[in-house]
Amino acid sequence: MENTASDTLTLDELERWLVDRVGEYVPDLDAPVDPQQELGEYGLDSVAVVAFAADVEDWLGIQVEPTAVWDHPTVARLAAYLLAEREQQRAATA
Amino acid sequence: MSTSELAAEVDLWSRPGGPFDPALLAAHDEAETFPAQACAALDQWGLPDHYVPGRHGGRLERLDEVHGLLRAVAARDLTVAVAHGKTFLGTASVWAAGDSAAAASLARHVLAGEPVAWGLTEPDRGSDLLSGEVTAVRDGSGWRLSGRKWPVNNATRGRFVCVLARTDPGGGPRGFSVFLVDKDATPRGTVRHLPKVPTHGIRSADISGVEFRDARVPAHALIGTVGGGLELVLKSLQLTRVACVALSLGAGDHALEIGRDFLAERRLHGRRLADLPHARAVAGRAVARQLLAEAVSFTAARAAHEVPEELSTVSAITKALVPTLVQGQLRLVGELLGARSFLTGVDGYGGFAKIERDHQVVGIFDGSTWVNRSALATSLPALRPGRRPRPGTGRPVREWLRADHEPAALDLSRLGVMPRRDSVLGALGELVAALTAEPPGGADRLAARLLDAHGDLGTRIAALRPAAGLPATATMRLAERYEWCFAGAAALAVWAANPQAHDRPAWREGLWLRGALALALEGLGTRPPEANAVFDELGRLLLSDDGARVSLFGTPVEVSA
Repeated sequence: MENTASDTLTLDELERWLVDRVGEYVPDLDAPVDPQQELGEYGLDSVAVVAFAADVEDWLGIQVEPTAVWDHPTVARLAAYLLAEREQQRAATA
Repeated sequence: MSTSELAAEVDLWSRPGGPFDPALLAAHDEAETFPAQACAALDQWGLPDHYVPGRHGGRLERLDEVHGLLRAVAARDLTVAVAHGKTFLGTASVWAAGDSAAAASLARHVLAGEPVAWGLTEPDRGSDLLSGEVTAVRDGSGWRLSGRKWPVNNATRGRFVCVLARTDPGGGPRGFSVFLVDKDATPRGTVRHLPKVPTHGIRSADISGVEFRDARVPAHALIGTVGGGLELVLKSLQLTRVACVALSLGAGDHALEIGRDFLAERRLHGRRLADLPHARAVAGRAVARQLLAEAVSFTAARAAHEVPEELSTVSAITKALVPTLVQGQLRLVGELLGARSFLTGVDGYGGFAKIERDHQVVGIFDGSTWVNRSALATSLPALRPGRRPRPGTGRPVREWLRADHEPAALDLSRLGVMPRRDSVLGALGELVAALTAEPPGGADRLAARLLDAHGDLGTRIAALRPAAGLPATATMRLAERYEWCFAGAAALAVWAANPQAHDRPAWREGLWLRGALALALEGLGTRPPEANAVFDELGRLLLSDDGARVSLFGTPVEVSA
């Protein structure tokens, strides 16, 4: 895993990173993680959500509540939320 | 009113014919009948006022005070403390939700002495909150509830029951909501009580159940948001897990008192039992467990005020460790008492078996040791070393653990589900360094070994691989090691924060601190060579005039008028 996301991160890149990362949590999938599929189906709903949110936090360099995964429960929706959140948090600290 | 006043009152009530008369409570236990006299006495004294936050008209301001009060009751009878204190647990979700109308209304009822139950558990669902089958469906502006909550403390006696119900048929972390059900306001025949469950301990408590049969509740029964139930319950549990370890401390107080009397009067082979080294070491080990449990509990109670963002882990550690420490303490005292720990009718000792039976429930409710340890285990990656530390907002731990420190106001809106730092364990390096500058009785050697163990733990946490699902056994072991490291750090922090206490009997030469560190190191799988000598010293302390009430600060925290 790269240490941090680039400043010019796109939605596609973010989505790809999330797909890979979810895949690391669920290593025995026979197909790549589907961005439209509920993360709960992959076992990422409540048990591993804190660790996953910590990974996302470290990579994006922003504060991410684990409940964001509950509120945006697919990779596609989570990516959109995180990108907006990142812009907002960076604007706030700029 | 104050903690020591309540303690004195309970002592008076414990005289023959009083509401806490051990003979009366033993009879209730035998017959499995509710200890109504004792609970009425507590109501009259005003204990329910301390379950309601000040801003809603009650006297709940500080968790260390709640500890003092529940501990004082539990030290006389654990069943009564469980039966009465349950209302605090049942109301926690309402205070944590921050909805002022619901809180104001519930506050009035609690202040008037109405018991409240907390309906989380369901038959055959274990501790998995997401598997709950009690449903709430919209019905006009209100809701209809169906299903069973069982076994639940106070389910029959509690006029109010705070229920976690499924509001999205698909469930999931956003599929549940919390409802405060006023049983008196539900249509006749729609709420049925399930019979009392026979239990091994706390036999006289109202452990029963409640069944909703399409029970209509009004719109204002919803607490918090639709779908916010799981998050709200997880946050409420952080508070209740910290509060309820006071029950363990009280049970420990009670057991040490019995053990001390026995050691002083019992003679074997022409010698007092107290003069046998083995007996003293066992007694000292029991004392060390009690004081370490107290250090962790006190730290957690203050953390709730000062670093609520960290309470998800602090509460899990506390609830996993404190009941375990005290259950082990009871086992040691039982070993000393020998046959008397088992007899019921022996004057002065008959209560011991009941304490041991009653206490087993503390390790179970509000999440068992295993449940709390797995919550910590799954959070460990968020605590891995080297995560960019966020600037600490508050004061250093050695400041807010000072006995006379006035804690910051409780702000439940700051509770979270993700720890980003651990102020207590994070201070370990500087605490050990400070101790080395002024080493009390060799405690610095023990502390240095704890620091090594903590370094090793960090390496192992950093190496954790991502994993969905329940934590692996190895991760659970790491969580347990984390608990022991935290406990040792809490003991060091309490020591450093309270120089004014360093000349108290249990503190001289770092005595209790050395006992606490020795236990933590044993928990981490090492056998510090100085352990036996430390436990012998603590055993002597218990048998001295200063051993009448073994506790860190001697007197409980005073409740501000």
